[in-house]
Amino acid sequence: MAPFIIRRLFISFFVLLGATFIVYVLVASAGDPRNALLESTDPGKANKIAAMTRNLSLDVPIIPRYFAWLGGALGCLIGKCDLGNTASGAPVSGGLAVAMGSTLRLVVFALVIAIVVGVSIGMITALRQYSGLDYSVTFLAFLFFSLPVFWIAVLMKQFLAIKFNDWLKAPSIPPWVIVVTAVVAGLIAAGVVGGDRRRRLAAFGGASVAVALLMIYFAVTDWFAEPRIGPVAMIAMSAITAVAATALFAGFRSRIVLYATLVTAVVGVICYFALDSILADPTTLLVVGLLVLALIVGAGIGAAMGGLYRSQAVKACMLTAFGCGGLIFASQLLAALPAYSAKVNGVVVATIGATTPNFSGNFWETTLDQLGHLLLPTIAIVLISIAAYTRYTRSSMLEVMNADYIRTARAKGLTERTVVVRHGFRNALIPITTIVALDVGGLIGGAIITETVFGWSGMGKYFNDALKIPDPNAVMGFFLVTGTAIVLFNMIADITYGFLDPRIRLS
Amino acid sequence: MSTEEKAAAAASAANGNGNGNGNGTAAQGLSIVARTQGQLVRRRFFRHRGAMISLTILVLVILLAYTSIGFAGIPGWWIWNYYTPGKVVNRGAPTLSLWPTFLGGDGFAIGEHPFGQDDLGRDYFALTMRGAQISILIAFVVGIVGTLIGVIIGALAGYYRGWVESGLMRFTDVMITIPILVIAAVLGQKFGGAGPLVLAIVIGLVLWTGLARLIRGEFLSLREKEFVEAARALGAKPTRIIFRHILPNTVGVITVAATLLIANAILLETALSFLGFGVRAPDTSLGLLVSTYQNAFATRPWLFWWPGLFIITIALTVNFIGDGLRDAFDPRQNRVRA
Amino acid sequence: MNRTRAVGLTALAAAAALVLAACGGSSDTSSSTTAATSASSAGGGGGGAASVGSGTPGTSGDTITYAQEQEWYDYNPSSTSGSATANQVVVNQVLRGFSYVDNNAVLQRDTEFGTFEKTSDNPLTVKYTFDDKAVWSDGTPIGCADFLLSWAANSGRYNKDGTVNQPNATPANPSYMFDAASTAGLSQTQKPTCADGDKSVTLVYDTPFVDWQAALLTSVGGNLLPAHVAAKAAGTDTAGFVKAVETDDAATMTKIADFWNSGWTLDKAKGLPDASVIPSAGPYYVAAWDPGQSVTLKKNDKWWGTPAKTDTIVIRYISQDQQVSALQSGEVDVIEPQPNPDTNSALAALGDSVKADFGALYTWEHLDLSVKNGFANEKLREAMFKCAPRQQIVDNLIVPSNPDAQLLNSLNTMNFQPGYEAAAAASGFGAYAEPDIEGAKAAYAASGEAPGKAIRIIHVDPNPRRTNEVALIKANCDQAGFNIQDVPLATGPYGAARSAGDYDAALFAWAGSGLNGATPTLYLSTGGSNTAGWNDPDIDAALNQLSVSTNPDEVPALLTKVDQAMAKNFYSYPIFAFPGVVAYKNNIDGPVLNTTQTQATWNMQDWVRTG
Repeated sequence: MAPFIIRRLFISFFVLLGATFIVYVLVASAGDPRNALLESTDPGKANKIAAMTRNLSLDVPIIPRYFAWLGGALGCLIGKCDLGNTASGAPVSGGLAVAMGSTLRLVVFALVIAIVVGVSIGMITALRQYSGLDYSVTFLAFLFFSLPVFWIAVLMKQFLAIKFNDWLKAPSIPPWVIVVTAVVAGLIAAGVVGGDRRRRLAAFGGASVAVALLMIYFAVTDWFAEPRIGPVAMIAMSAITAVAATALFAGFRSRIVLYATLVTAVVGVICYFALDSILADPTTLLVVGLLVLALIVGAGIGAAMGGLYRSQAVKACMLTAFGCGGLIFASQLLAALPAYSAKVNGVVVATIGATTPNFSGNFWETTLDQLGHLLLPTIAIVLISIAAYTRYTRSSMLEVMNADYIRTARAKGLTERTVVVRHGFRNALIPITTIVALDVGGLIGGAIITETVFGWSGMGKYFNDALKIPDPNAVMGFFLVTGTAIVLFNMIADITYGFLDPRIRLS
Repeated sequence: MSTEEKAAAAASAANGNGNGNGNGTAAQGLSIVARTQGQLVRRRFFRHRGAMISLTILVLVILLAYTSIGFAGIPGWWIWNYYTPGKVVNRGAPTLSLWPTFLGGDGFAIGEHPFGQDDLGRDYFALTMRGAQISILIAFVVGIVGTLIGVIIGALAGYYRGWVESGLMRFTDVMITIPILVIAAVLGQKFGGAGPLVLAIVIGLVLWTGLARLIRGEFLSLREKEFVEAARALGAKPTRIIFRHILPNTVGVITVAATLLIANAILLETALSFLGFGVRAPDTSLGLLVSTYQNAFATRPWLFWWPGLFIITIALTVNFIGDGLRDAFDPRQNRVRA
Repeated sequence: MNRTRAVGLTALAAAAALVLAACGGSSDTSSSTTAATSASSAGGGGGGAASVGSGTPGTSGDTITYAQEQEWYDYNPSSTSGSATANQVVVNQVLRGFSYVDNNAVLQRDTEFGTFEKTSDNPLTVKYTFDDKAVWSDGTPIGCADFLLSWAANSGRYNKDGTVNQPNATPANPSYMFDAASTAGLSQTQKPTCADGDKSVTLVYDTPFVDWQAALLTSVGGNLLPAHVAAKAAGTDTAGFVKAVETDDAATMTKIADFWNSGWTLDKAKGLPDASVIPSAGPYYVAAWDPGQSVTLKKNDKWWGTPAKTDTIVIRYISQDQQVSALQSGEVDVIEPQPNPDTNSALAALGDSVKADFGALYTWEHLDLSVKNGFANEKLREAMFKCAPRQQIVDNLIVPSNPDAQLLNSLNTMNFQPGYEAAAAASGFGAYAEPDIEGAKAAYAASGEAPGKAIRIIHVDPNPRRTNEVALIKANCDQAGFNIQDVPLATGPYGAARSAGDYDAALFAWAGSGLNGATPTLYLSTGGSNTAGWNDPDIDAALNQLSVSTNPDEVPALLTKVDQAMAKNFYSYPIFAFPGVVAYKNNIDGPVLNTTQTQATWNMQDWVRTG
């Protein structure tokens, strides 16, 4: 492995070197940034042109200019970065660092959601191939994929932000919304469950009635005016989490795992009551610490009670603990919502920017502020990237489920759950990891249009602004980061692939 | 090489691979009609409901776009052209009406300007059709250029291996890292909007990288197969092995990747136009129309929705066709939804 | 963020809690109670999350939020790189000076800051007096040293090599110590003399200067900067700096200049410089900067003039396309979007909740005919003037964006400036409002040119409006005998073509400032921006007189002479002033459309929330 990595790193370095040369020459010959000044009546026009010439060394021919730039950039290897100045004289590295931070905040969150949602939907559609659900999901995935981002942005700002914020000021749920939501939920449930008509009908009925009841409860108690997760809801949802975690990792054949997760859930519910005061205004460190603690406790319960099924129990209990922690977190967040809403004049879902300027509040309110600003751009990114994950997972899963070893697994009498989760899903994930790795590399380049329309001054916007001038130093700063990321993650993709799939040798 | 031949070759490959439902075995069954792999593929494709509906819609859209306002000097049947300004009537609102009278509408009427008019009073149907023409042109040119380059580079790298492979693949790596916007910007500056065809070729020159890696992977595994070994033993030249023996086996992968490339090209063109690096006025494209009028969303919605509708329709249908092709070409796929 | 300290303390408490929890085994409930008490006492506030609402204000209260597209990057708006609208928007009411250009491009004296008077015409002598109470926000009095810094920086007196220029003696290849955006005006003055702490200074000009009232301004504003900050950075104090100017001490001046050039340039990675580096001399000071997101201005308690009406102004960086929806959602209060029919309708759709002020900007569109190329023949130029559909262009392309838009009939006076009516009536452009195809045909025939002469109109691309303008010109002028060719060029090739004069006609806009110093370069036969080869003795005479006129009352007549000669020679015709709009919530009072480049914040000290 080590020689492979070293050789790849060596080659990657030269690939990057070649690419920087090409990009530099392209950008430098894309136009003269000084031309934008020609339409100015500014008496200092000549001075400005001279200053820009100096900032970008425009008086030097392109090739020597590239090597001068390269000299500064190579300094990064020994910790003395000099990426030059932008056209306006500010150092490239400063703006780049800010842009990178902004993009990472935006993209990491969205990527995680897109992967989780996309992979699960892909799995379900593969298992229910050619069903109504499969067709609808395929259609929707392609539809979202085909929508231009700025279009989604306009719609979302209007309906998910402005209209929703107005609605939240006096929330009331009209009957037709309840009916439509219930029917949709029922249809989804029926599609996911599959099977014969009776089974699907039961799923439809169950899900739609449950959702309708929930919505009516929300409407009657005016839940949205003061949202919270009450004790009853907490107990119910913790139990559901425990059952779901058991189903995912162990199945119900062995009750012992179920008991372990249920005990974990009980501890979670106790924490829900006990931690109220400690969580009044916690620090990020405290919250993370509690989460780690929860996972340790979960693992402990699993190990202690798991018996023969120890490893499954540990995993299931950790997942349950994680879920309960999430529920407590959500309950605190929701409790802080009315106070937060009052502070920001009811703009709960923001349409622009990364934070409310000069916002100050406790941990929950600042978290809400960040989430409120992340919501729309995250949905936009998730909607467009989810299509790819769904499709890749679906086809990879289909391929795996048609493989001989799955037939073998079925033939030896394993339950469908074991076949799907242990034999199918794991193998289907191998190609997905490659795609994820490549995507991460690409996403560091930012989402130009998403960033522009939602006012995030991230990498994409930085790049686009620089390119419009065109400012070679700024573009190269951008490229150095994204190019390195792409090359690195390309390599990581190859390595993980070889690592996960023993059939592939790294040579 | 015709499709039939390709398919036949693909069939032999399926046998050679040993992982197909060998049609030879199928022929031995009494009640089963013998089908070539090509027939199977076609059958599966024709039975893919989504793909067939999409294909029909796409053909209709293409016909509508190219016949309505004419193309390359050939006149069309629509009364307006896309460049002559006119008088703006009723803020340019569309005259198309589909709402029947008995429901309180105006009945079915096309009117003077069914899709409305733009700022200068140009007919918006004609503009949208022109936009569709250009977008379709770009999409298919990108598809052809990108596929051609991707296949050639991937095939050479995968077949010859050694320094050819490492050279070509490192070149691919370099290309992958270069942001397409940089290239589009240079193009915009150098050629000052040299027209959609140049734009399409350039996009194609950039977008082949994924395909090349895919084809290389296929070649790497296929070149070790027995039938290639056999061909080599019979003294076949490398070009013959590549084009007659290995390439036909990758036709499924190529077709699917090409359709996705086409769909991507349409969206890429939209994004480029939004950022000001795409097609330029006075010519137009769907992406340019949508981005020009993105703020008209609330006030003159027709300027935004019509081109948007066509973008989605084209992207969606192409994607579905690609999906159908993928299912159809997958030899392990034996379920066929009627 | 004032949370930092609390966060630190709570983190400590939390860490302690974790350790306790880990040691105490399963009974984590008991230990967490201890942690909770310490955490809430560290936070300073009591109780749970619900009771926080009444405490520190978020964005509500006395805050007005303004949306701006471009982010600032320099605190010094007078340096070459800092002289940009983006910076001026922030420092408009942070740094002030003796004069400013108001929203109608009329020069005003800032009597709150100080006063000045012309004490002699020959030689032109101006006496500046600072207000007695004038102090920087850090308490340092404003006075002679600050004036000297402005003079030293903007006079182009000090060269990099340490030599000193004489007034009006500009070196052939200037390499000044200070990267000043402009040395116009001050380069013609004698070195002022004053002692550190003096509250008045006298400036003596060697030659008269038309914009003497705005000598310390650049085209986008420009203001006095704190000399004590620069002096400290150079390792001296104001007295030392005054002495250095007096003795032309190159070593000290170089250090001062280095700081002046780049010491105020902002680095996003470092955030806002220390408060001691950026003191304010206006109603507001810069309190916070969240790079990429916003700048916060707070009321300056040390400001001696009329206090600002609102405590906090937040400038948020939002692209123009997204500003209307941000206004609608309530995230900003004042916006300046790009006016177009859709923006207008979107604003109109918001109804009474929003007020909008539409108008024209000091950026005027015009068509230049090149006598070096296709339009050497005066009769051809006449035909081009006569076939011009100027009114139609305004009606079709500008009125939908600015309901009050008018045809512009002067190249030198905008229709929102005083004296426009007279200037427009006298200029002669009014005769070419509607196309006169017959007249144009006659003129074309008289030119002796064969019909169908190809005319290349160049303009910057992409710009749909100019494409449409050329389409309308072509529709009319082709009838007169021309063959108009639309030549859209990307910024690069366009700039090259225009500065080389490689065009028959050029359709573009100049951006003005309300000052007259730059006018001569546009039309003078030797003017740097005159690439069309115009050469008219009347124009040259009028402009040469303009540059040395110190009496503001003489200026309009001279500008009218230029207009008349431009029309008489058929050199160039104006078409329209760019439309602009400022829109704001109906509970905000004060914002008005600013026609110049300094944007709506020029009067933000008057903005106030009424309900």
